[in-house]
Amino acid sequence: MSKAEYLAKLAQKLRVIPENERRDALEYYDGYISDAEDESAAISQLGTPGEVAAIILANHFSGEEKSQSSQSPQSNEAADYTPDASESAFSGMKTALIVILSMFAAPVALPIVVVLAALGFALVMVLVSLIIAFAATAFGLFLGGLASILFFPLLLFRDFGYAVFLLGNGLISVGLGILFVKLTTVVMRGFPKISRYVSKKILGRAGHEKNRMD
Amino acid sequence: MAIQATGVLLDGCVLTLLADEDAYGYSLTQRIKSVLDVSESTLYPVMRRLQTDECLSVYDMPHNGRNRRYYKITERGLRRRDECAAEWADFKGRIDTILGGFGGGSDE
Repeated sequence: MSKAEYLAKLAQKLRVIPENERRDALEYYDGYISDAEDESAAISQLGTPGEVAAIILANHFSGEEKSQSSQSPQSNEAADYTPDASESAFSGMKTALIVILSMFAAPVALPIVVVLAALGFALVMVLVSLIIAFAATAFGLFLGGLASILFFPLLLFRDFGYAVFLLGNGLISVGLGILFVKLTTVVMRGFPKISRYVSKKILGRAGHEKNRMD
Repeated sequence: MAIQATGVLLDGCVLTLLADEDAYGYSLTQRIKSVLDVSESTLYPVMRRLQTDECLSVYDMPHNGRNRRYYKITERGLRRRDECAAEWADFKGRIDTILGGFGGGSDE
């Protein structure tokens, strides 16, 4: 990962904090990586942008709590330095935030999940019925075609024209049958691919939301 | 290293190093890292907090065609450093009253 890529990912993870704080952090890490003798080594030592962002976010939210509790800048310097208190306040606030977030998210998230599940189910059903329809069509055409071809020699001497028509008809049916077998296999082969794509879209989005919460 | 330096200890270490001379983020991190088992990303929030608490001031100096941000300890930072040192001496003393006498050998 290049420095620019790393910083872009970090910026993305820091969207939730105010612009000036984000810029400050990005400037710090920009400078940090630039000052290292080996940029790529420095990047790999820093950990993932997510890890770096997590530490910044944790401190941002605990700092917010702290600055609210000690508004006056003239307060006792020793007293307003209480890392342990602010750390426990942070974990308490984080839990509360998650609870509040999930309460707000529940009425929205639940219907979305239900709708997505229903859509997925409908898609599976559509594909299954397509496969069945194609297979049945192929089977019917084959059977009809074969029957026509088998009857051809019996009718050959009774009604030559009709017999030839029947033969042609049978060949066309068998040909179409082969085509539908092909169509069925295409849909069947595409089935896992499509479901994988759709589930990746849905799960990918869910994962993304989770990342944002992290 | 099983005991992690956090909070007041890390503040004290950073402030003491900066009392010696001004430093930029990378050099400071490397100096702390050469002694303590801290991750690269722990120091940024520490610097930022010390800055917000006005224990540090920052200034930029051109270096290789860009500005390098240096940290400089303030009067308030020096006092905080003394507090951290006192906290540590107190803590160390308390632990030593229990654990210190052991000294890796028997008491007799």
